[in-house]
Amino acid sequence: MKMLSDIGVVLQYDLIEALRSRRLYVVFALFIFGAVSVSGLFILTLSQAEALYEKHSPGSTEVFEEDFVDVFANSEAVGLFVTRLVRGDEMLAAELLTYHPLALFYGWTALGFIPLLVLLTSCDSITADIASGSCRFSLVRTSRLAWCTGKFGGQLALLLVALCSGGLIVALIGNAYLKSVEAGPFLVEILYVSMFISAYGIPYLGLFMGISQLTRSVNIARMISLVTLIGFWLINVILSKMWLIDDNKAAYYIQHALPGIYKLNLWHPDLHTRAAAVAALALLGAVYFLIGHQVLARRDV
Amino acid sequence: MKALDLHDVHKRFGAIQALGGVTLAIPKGVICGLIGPNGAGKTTTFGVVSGFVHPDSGAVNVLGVGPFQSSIHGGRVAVLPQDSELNPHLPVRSLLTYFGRLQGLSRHRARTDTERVLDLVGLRDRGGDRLRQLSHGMRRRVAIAQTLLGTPDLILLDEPTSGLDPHLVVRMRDVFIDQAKKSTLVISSHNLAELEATCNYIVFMEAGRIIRSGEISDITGSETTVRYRLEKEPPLDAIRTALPGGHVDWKDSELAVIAPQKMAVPDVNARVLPVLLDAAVGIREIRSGKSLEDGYLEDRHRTLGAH
Repeated sequence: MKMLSDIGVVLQYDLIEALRSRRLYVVFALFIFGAVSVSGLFILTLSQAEALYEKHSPGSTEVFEEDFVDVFANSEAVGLFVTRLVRGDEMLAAELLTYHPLALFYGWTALGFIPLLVLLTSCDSITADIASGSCRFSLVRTSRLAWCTGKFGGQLALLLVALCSGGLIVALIGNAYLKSVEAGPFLVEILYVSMFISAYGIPYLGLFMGISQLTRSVNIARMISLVTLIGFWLINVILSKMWLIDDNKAAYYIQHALPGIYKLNLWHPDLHTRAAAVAALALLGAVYFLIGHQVLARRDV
Repeated sequence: MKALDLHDVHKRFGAIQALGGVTLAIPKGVICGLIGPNGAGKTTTFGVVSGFVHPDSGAVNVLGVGPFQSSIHGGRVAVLPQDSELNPHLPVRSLLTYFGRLQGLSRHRARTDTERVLDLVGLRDRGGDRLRQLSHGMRRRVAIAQTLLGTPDLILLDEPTSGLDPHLVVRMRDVFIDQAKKSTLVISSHNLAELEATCNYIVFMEAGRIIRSGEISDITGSETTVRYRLEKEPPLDAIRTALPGGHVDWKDSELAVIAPQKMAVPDVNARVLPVLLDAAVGIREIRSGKSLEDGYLEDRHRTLGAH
């Protein structure tokens, strides 16, 4: 009971501390810049398509955007493209096409940037406290596991705040520039997307916070995290190729130890599939985190 | 009952033997001064006691319930670590409330206790400031304040008054003496005069070992020895006659009189002072015992000489 309470206290404190540090503003600014860019890119593409359409059918631009969203959802060609994108899962492709294109575009792009965002915010969150000695003021009051888990929770909450803030910005821009966006439902949809894609950050949080427990040097923690992230990406690409092209079953199973394979299932309409993906990502995060914690639990601070 | 009991504790950092068999027992309720040169192992000892450092071997018993475990000792042991920085981003009040809650105080109790300890260290008016807005001395006082939260049974303070103004050193001394009514305090410091004024129990460390420990009065001889600084050599035979069974020594303008067994210092003065006044030797100073500094240096020379 005391451990749960301690985790809650550390989580709350870590979140407040992060919200007060300047570095977080820089990371948030980057993420919001990304969200604005995504929206801008989407709207720019749509405007260019509109201009092109008007050139060929003068006077019909009023209805173009709604048509576009409609075409996106119902076009056979788009459906085929999305189905290929999701490795042939027609059910998933159909689900993806029910989202507003802007929400889908934002969610898909954010998924790609989540590992980097987590790297920037979390890879030295424990190392920095060990290096400065500030962890000692906490560790004389609570266990190392409770402290680290609380910090993990704080960083997860932070990720959620960052994703939802980005989603909110996209919703505001979409509402201002796109006629197809209905303010209320679109905001709900994009916040929903932000919530479930945040699960993809859990394994990366576990990974980087695990690394953060290995060393007392902030620079070394950052370097190992970056190298690991690149390594994960490369291994995932190689395993995917071995599995998809060469039909290598071992590669398929090994890939389950990496987060990338669960990315698509986060969008799946079947709730069991989606819940299993979230559970697997959480488990991976916990495993990575606890491997790193074995080092911190035994070391001097 | 002992607040701290260490037996043959060893700790090595690579090639450096930080603790080479520390055996130490500190009684409950004392203010203990831990004295030793740089590298003697004081900070490592604190680290071992508070669970930051894992000893290679030996037995550690904190508050009679075994080695430090946060589930048992959390909130009962408070530490001011040396060279550890508090989080600079948070306001002082939030930081202290966080520490209070982490050691098991309710939200309300943590807040009220934060105000109490801020009062004790004289920083209530700066409670809303972030740590980075405070001077070094103020940050040190915040670090002291966090050790006073709740009701700790054992408080370890590593160089608590370094960087503080003299009047604040005096204020902190009063705080420590008052806190000793509720807690056992162990203070590591290089300021021996300050420790002498604060502590009633002393431990000397040298090269990772304890060279002496005991009541400060035993070390300084304040209950048995009286020192007189005089302008002229006194009549030693007359003093010996006035104080049968005592021991008298004259050196460097200082007369050291060691009382016979069970004779109190006022009684020694009652017998020796008339002789000195009659002899008109010019009494410049009277003090009981030797200074802690002298006691420490003597023990250190004896230990180093033995090696």
